[in-house]
Amino acid sequence: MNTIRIALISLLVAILPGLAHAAEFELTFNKGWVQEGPPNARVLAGFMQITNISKKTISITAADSDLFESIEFHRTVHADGMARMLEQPELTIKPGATLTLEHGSYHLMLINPHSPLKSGDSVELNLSLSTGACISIMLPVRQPQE
Amino acid sequence: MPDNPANEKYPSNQFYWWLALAALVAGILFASFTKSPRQAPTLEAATLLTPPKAVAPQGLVDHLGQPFELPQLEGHYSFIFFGYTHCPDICPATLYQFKRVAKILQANPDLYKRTRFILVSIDPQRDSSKQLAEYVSYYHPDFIGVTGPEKNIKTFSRQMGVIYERREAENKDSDNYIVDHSSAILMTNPKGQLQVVFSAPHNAESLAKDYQAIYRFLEDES
Repeated sequence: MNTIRIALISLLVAILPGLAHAAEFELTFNKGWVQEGPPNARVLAGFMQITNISKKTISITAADSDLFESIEFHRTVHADGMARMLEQPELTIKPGATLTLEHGSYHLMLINPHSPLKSGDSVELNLSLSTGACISIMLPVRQPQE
Repeated sequence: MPDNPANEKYPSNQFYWWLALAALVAGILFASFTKSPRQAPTLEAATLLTPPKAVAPQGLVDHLGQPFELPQLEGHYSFIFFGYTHCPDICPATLYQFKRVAKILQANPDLYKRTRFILVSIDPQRDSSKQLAEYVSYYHPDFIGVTGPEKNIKTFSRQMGVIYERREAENKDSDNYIVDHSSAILMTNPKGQLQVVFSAPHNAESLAKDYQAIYRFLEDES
């Protein structure tokens, strides 16, 4: 019995890091950053490029961070001279596709920071995926490049 | 040498040269004494309104709590954007563009002195003067924030051709509502009249270039 238990634990120990990697490497994240705002800003925007390197469609269904009250996905749409922000229930990325979160388009809306963030700080984001995996990524806080 | 028959029927070539010269001189004199309509400047992103449109902000306050009405627009060219401090994407992006425009214009101190950058809040419920003071000065110490009673903001925005609409959050008690708003940047002239509309997307270099062209055009005219 003990032998079986040890064997099972060994198997899990061997498999688990592999699973975590598998989840992590289904999506790759590039050029991620959070835009620094005034000290009293109640919302900040986060941007990045997400590429789906797996063979199936993956959605990011939720995001949260210890540094913010909540995080939403939004898309800015320009139409008829108006800028509208449309909340997105999730961010869906097809196999091989890249979704770019950038100014005037898709972005993370980081709501009610618990304390002001400055350039040089980092934001750890926890992302829940449609695959059931949960991954965390770090985004640097900075000003936009000129 | 045979005579040229033309010389007999018509005045000499010299006569035509004098005539052409006289016409040229007359043309130059005419042009300098009459105010002919000048070519409007070529613009990248701006629309020049001719004639400009009168506006009259009333009952508004700036980020220092001082009155903000027509006299505060007079004497300057003002870049004006209608936004709000809870706006994550468009407003910070536009204020960063203002900051870059200010940096470009500071190379010409005379021009910069006549220029103002103003954020008018379309969310006066959450944007007090105090909130705006901290917000706009983060981008630039010279920037101005304007707020006031909702109905005064509405009147001024309508005069400026700006529309906005508050969209309630799913949770009605939540303070996290969104305000959709016009993305254009407006400019008033030193008489406080709406003179220029800059359409989105905004780019600091185009804003500065168009403004400088418009400034030269309008200053030459006056």
